[in-house]
Amino acid sequence: MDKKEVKVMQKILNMNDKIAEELREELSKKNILFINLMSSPGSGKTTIMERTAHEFGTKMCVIEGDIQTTLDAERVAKAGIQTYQINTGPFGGDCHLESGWIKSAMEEIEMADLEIIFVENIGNLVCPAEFDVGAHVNAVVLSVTEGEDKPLKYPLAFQNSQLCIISKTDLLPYLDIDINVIKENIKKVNPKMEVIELSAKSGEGFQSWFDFLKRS
Amino acid sequence: MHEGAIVHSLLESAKEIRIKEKLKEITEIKIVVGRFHQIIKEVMLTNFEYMKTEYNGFENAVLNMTEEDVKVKCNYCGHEFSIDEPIFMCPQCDSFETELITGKELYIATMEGTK
Repeated sequence: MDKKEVKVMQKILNMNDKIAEELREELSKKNILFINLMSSPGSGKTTIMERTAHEFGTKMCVIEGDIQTTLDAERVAKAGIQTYQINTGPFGGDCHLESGWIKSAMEEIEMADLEIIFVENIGNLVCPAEFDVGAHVNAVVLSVTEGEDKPLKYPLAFQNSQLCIISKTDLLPYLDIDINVIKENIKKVNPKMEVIELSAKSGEGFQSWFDFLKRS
Repeated sequence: MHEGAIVHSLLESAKEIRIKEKLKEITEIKIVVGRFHQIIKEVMLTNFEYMKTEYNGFENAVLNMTEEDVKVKCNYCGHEFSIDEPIFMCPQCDSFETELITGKELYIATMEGTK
């Protein structure tokens, strides 16, 4: 039987990337900043969103990505802002969000008054980094309790992001963790990465985060 | 476990290419994957073996995955080097003014099938 080899040279994630690019363009036209927050489970993303909601109010919206439950969306909604929950499925559900999920969410969101949309990606430092969701800024949240070595262990998340938020800094006095080592490791993986240190408990460092959002 | 989602995207793309190129039975797909993705070859191949059975014309397809090393260029002194650890420091001049040249590839290179 005759065989034929065809040259393809096509990105495997090209469908995801195409939708992501369309989303980015559409949101840019509407002057809405879209930020993708990635981290391990329990790094403090939702608490950061709660405090951020007190600053930006109804100008912001949060898309919550979880395998199961609407707990995070319920928490953030209490701050009086728009939220949208994506559940990827309890049994064998996806461990990351793809741009198709985000596109569906965007169709449900009322955008008229919005200036910022956040997506809290699924708590996982590996898979989410692989998939462009159409954000203008990818940010990694790394809590000080996770240890100094995480940037080296999960380099793609740190390489594919422009900002790292080091969270839970109020716990530093109780830990054998040197925040300078965390920052050195971030620099090793992504020398251009911007770093903001904050504590959602005390509020320390939040002004830098708000300033970042206002100038982005 | 991002390999499953990547194999799914791969098969969805390959399905369209098979139709466009008027191929009957796909015998081989060659893909190139940069090592920075931390994709495990064995997991890719196992996922492919399971998932290909759901696609017409891919029942006998073989996945051939080539891995690309992570190479970095120093923009300060011009030195080019490969890295095994994710440390983007130039070993020649200690500069962090570096950029990744290869290692983030993730594409289908060729597909082979019967006419």
